[in-house]
Amino acid sequence: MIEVTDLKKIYLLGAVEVAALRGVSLSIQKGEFVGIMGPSGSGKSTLLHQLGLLDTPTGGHIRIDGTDVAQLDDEARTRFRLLHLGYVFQDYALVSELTVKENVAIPTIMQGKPLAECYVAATRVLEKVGLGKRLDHLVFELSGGEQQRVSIARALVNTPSIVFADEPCANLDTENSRTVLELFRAVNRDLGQTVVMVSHEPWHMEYFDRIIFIRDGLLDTERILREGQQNCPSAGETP
Amino acid sequence: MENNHGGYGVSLYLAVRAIRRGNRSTLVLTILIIALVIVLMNFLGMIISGVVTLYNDQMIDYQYGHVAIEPRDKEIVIADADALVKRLKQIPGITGVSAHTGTAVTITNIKTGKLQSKSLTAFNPEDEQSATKYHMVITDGDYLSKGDTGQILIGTLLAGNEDESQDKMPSLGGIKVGDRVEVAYSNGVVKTYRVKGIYESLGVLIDSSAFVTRNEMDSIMHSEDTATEILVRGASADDAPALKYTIMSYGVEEKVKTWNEKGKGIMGDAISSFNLIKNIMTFVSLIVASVVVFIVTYINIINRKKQIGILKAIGIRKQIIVGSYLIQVLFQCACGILVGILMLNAISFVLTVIKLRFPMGYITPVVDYSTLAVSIVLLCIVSLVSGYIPARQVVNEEILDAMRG
Repeated sequence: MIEVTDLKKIYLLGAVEVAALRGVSLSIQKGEFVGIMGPSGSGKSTLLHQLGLLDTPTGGHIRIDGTDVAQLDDEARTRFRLLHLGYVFQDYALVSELTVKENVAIPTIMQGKPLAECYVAATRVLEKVGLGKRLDHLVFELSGGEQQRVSIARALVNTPSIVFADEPCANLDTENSRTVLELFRAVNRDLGQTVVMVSHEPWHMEYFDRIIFIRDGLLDTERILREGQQNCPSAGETP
Repeated sequence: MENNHGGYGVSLYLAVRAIRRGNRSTLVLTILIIALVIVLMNFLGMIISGVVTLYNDQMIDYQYGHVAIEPRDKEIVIADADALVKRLKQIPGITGVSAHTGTAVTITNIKTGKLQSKSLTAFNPEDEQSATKYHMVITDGDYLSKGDTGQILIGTLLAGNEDESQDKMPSLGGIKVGDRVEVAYSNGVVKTYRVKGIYESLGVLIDSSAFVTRNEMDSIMHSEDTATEILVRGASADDAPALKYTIMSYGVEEKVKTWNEKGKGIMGDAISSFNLIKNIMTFVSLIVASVVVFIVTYINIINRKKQIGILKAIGIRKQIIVGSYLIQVLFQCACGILVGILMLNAISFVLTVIKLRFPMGYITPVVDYSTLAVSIVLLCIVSLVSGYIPARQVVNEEILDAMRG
C-alpha cells in the first residue's frame, strides 16, 4: 500500500523555482492497477518518480507498505528499490550488453541468489510474457514491443510489491501497446500485482482499476470524480 | 557470490559481459596503448641493463676476474706473489688465479713509426686462461705460450688500421700478426717484439691493451715474484662477495676487492645518469597511461551513462557499478601488460639478432623483471585511480539525470 501526504517537488531551473508537485495526497491499495493521467507537464511522471524512489521529493511523506521512504538513506533506498519495486520505462531501459535472459535476471543476481536459480526465474517470467524463445538474444535484436516485454519481465522477476510504469506504450504502435497493456492487466489480475502506470492515451483508461488525474502539480479531483462515474466504476475503490 | 544484496560478483558479471560484447576496437586500442606504455617504461631500462650486463661481463672476463687482489696500502706491488698465487689456488671455490704485472711503456710500429704510450701487462698464459677469456677472442695469429719471449699480444684497437680514418682511437696504424713493434720500458730498455696474436673483445678499454709473458717482463723489469694485481675467478659473479671474504679469512693481507667494487666508479656515474633518464621516462609514461585510461574510461562511462542510470534505478548499488568499471580497467591493464611484456621480449629478441653496437661491444638487451614488476604495479594503481574518478563521478549523479543520458 502506498500512502502519500502533501507531496511537493520543486525544481530549480537556474534561479527560477518550478513547482512540479504542489502538495499531492493520495493512497494506492495493494493489488490495484492505477493509471496516472493528465496533460503534458502536469507532473504525472514527477509523481511516479517520487513514488518509485527515483527522485527525492522537496516535501511531504511517502509510506510504502508502512515504510516512510523519505527516512531512508541512499543505500537503503537502493535496496528498497531492488527488493520491493519494479520499473518499466518509456524507452525500455535495457542494458545493451546483456542478453534478454541476463537483463531479466540481473535484479535477482543482485539479491545474491545462485546464478542458475536466477536464470530459471528469468526464464519463467520471460515465458509468461511470451519471450521464451528469445532468451539468448541481445536486446537490439528485438522489436520495440518485445523489448518492452523484456522490461516488464525484469520488473516482475523479483515479485515486487509495486510495479511502476512510466508511459510504457509511448514508443509502441497500437497493437504492441495493447499487448503490453494486456500483459499488465494479466499480472494485475492473475498475480494480484499492484501496478502504477503513467499514461496520456485516453484509450488506456479501460485497463485501469482507478485513475489519478493530475493537473498543474495537484490532483484534478473534479475530473477524478467525473471520469470515475463515466468510465471507471471501480475508481476510488479498493479491490 | 555474497548473499548481501550486491556482492562484487555482480560487478564481475557486468564487467565480463561489457568486455565480451562491448566495443572491440576501443578495447584493442586501449590494450595497445597500455602495452606501448609498458614498452616505453621498460625499453630504456632494458638497454641500460644490457649495457651494464655487458660491462660487468667484460670487467669479469678481461679486467678483474671475480675478485682482484691489490698491493697493500703504501706498496706498489704484491711481494711474494708466486706463493700467494699458489695459496689462492688451494682455496675451495677458486677456479682460476692469474698474477699480473703492469708497467708503462711506449710501443712503436717499426714499419710506420707511429707510437702509443700504454700500460703493458704481463701474465702467465696458462694461469690467465683460467682467470680471463683473452685466449678465446684471438682474431688473428695465436695466444701467448708460457715460454714465449720476444712475442707480444695486441688488442685490435691498439693495432689499428693503415687507413687512420677507420680507427676508433689512436692506434699503431695497422699492425698485423708477424709485424714488429718496438717497446720502450720505463727503465730505459727498448726491445723489439714480434706480434704473435691480435685479439678483439669489442671493449674499447680492453682492446687497446698489449700483453707479454711474465718471463719476458721479468727479464726486462726484474719483477720476479711480484705482481701489481692478482685476478681470481670463482664459481659465479654473484658469489664474488662471499669469495672475497673466504680469501680474507685465509689470511690474505693484501687489498681484496670484488669486480663490482673495482668497476663501479667507472660506470657508476653513467648508470646513475641513465637511471635518471629512465625514471623521467617512467614518470612521463605513467602520466600518458593515466590520461589515456582516464579518457577511455570517461568516454566509455559517458556513453553508458544511461545504462548506469538504469542499473541504479533497478537497485544495483553504486559500488557494484563502479566495481564493474574497475574490473574492466584491470582487464584492459592486464591484457596491455601481457602484450607489453610480449612486445618487450620481441624487441629484445630482434635486438639480439640485429645487434646493437656500443663502445664496450654488442649489447644483448636484458628485460629487468624487477623494474618491470614495479612499472606494472604503478600502471595498475594509476589506471585504477583514472578509472575510478570518472566512474564515481557518473555513478553519483541523480538517477533521472543519468537516465536522460
